[in-house]
Amino acid sequence: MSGHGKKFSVHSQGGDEDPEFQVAPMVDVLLVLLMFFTATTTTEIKSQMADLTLPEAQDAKDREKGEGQFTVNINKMGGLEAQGRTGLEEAALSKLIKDDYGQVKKLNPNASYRVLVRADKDLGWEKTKVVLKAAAAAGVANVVFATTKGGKG
Amino acid sequence: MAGGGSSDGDYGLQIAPMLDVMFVLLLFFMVMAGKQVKEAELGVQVPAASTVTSTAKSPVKMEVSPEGLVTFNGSPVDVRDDEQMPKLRAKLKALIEVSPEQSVIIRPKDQAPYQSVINILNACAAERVKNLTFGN
Repeated sequence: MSGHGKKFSVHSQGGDEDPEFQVAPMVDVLLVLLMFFTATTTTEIKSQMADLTLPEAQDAKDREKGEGQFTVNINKMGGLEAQGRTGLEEAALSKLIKDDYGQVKKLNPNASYRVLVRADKDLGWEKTKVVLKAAAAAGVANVVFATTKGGKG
Repeated sequence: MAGGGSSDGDYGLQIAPMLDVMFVLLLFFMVMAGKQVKEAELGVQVPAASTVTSTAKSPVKMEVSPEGLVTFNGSPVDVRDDEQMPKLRAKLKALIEVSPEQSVIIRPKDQAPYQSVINILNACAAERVKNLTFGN
């Protein structure tokens, strides 16, 4: 044991090459991590809207990405927003959903399509009812409500 | 004197400051990623124009008052503060055990709190209610 140690120490003393800290691979790993976190943060932020707080539901399913999805945001003030347009009324919203639904069906007749409602938790039901009516009028039966699992401060 | 001459005019990439910046960026994005709230969803089938279905024998009706009081076939069960809706869950559980295909209609009043409706949907999802819809 001691002989081994001695031999090793003699060898390392004699060699000029000290084990160096390799910066290049570390930079590679760092860049990959950086890109990963940048990408995940941007995609999440894109789908969210600042001025609404989603309701909490512990038993909700994890969100799934369907082939066709129409997202309607209802902010704290009760304003309806979809596809970058704000202050939508039932008829206008229904037309938007119908057009989008038609486009998705044209590309793939068997595509699943749904309307995602992201409404503020402090609102009353009437605004969401407008979205449900608009979806029904556009012929879309599948409506899902966005929630958070909550539980964290 | 002699040592200075060997690296004259050699402007290599400075790794140390670049690493500093990268660490700061990495930390920033890691913290942001940790703060993000993961979204979940609760689904429901709306009686759309193209999918008119005849509701099964005597669907269960649940109503939500503007104060957030939930009634089950007319009898009050849970109030707004009961987020887990224990009484409603017990009723739904008994109902689904007897007939798994039992249809349930939720009829919230216009001023009913959205969170209460979500609480009902949550309870229905937990008790595996399959036929769930909204009514006026």
